[in-house]
Amino acid sequence: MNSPIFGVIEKIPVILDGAMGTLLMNAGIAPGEAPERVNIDHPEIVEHIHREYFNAGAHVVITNTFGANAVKLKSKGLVDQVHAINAAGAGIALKACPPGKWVAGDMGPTGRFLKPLGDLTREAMEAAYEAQARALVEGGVHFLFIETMYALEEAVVALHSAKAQGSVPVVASMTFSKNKDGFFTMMGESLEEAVTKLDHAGADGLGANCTLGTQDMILLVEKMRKLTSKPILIQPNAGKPVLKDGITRYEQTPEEFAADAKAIRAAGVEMIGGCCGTDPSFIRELARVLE
Amino acid sequence: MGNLENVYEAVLNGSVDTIVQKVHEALDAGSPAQEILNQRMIAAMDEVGRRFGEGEYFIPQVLWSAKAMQAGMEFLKDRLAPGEQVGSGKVVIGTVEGDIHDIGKNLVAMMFEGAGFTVFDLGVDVPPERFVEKAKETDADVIALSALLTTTMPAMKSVIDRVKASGMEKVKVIIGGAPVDDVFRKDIGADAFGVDAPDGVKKVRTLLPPRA
Repeated sequence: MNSPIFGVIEKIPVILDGAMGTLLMNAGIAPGEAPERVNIDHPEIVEHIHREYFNAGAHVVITNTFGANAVKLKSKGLVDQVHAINAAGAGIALKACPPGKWVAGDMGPTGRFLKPLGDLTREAMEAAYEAQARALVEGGVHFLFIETMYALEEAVVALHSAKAQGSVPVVASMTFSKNKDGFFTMMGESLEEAVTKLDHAGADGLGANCTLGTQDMILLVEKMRKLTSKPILIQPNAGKPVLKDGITRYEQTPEEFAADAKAIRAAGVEMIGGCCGTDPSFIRELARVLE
Repeated sequence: MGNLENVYEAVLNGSVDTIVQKVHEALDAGSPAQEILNQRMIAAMDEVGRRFGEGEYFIPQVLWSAKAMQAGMEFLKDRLAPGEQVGSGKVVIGTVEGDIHDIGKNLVAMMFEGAGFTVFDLGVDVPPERFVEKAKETDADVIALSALLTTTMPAMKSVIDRVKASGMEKVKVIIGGAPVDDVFRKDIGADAFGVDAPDGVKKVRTLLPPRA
């Protein structure tokens, strides 16, 4: 395959970007404004954040389209904006993207459960993901990044919908918690089950992001590497949120984060970035340590 | 006793298809509705909460148990002796202003419904005054606040300040979500903190005055 992700993977490790939401708030987005709407209302803010990550050393930035599926946008009264928000998200990231670097189209969960546990039909979920994936691919993203999935069934639906667009690779990343028996999704699916199923369902890369900090991610990757030969993508949180003097922050420094990322890389990971609590200073340190 | 055990197990196993029959059998065998509810159904939900906390149950098991609980309670409502009630109270719930994360909030809402509460779900990104208005309008017993982002935690305090300023005395405020903890709860003056959905429901039950 000559798809761009494999072009990137040739020079592993691939450095991804870090958190988006907190940076949007810091940039003065009003509380209550849907973060995806900023693509339409203030594209320059999103573009600036992408540039900061590229300048920090990221090879790949992820579009500001995490919640830009029809199921989520409907709850915000923006259901007619699915195409516009995703197309704009792709366009902004590509505008900020220097030659030789890459843009991943972000697809997060719907926030709902499929029937019979929840009230969302499989058809509605498929339609939502297909529409989002189509808009991102038409917008020119180099690969699709399905992330923070907490239900394997939903991740598979998203993967099939994304793969149906045909032309770009798809990385599928889920979020796991650790308990005494190992790593599990919120729905109780094991790491083994999730990785094996997504691998067989045709994912071009597999990942884990959010919920876990760097230390737990090292343990997760040691298990995950044995389960697949495909590229692995990891985006840990910057530790756990802690409250100090009335202000909450994530507990890790960029240096601590990057030191653990080195162990994550050594355990066999091709693509590493940051999730909650990270910012360009984390990615700068990550790039410095890994290159 | 056998019938009562069946009600307990039906809730514990999330048997939405058989719970009504099991409750019916227990009533036919002479057990009072209140006893079926308190000693078996609520006890089963406590066990569900324990198993969830231990990592033995995951979200699907918890939700199916909550659904079984809800179906059993619906059936019990029409079969109460005069003066008895099965409702646990009224809860106004939402994710605070600036935060659009709803998975945890939805789970907690379902757990409250499962425990017999009447739930008014205000959705996500809810302004502080909206919580207070809705609590007044519905004569709520509980306001439940959710946040996932560390940046929106201060919005929880705004709600609590408004509740205090409004003079509503009986309403209790419980908070939950990934970044909050009991230290933060004390800081902002909330009545309770739920570490997860079942724990939240349990804490609320201990906060409210016992019902006849």
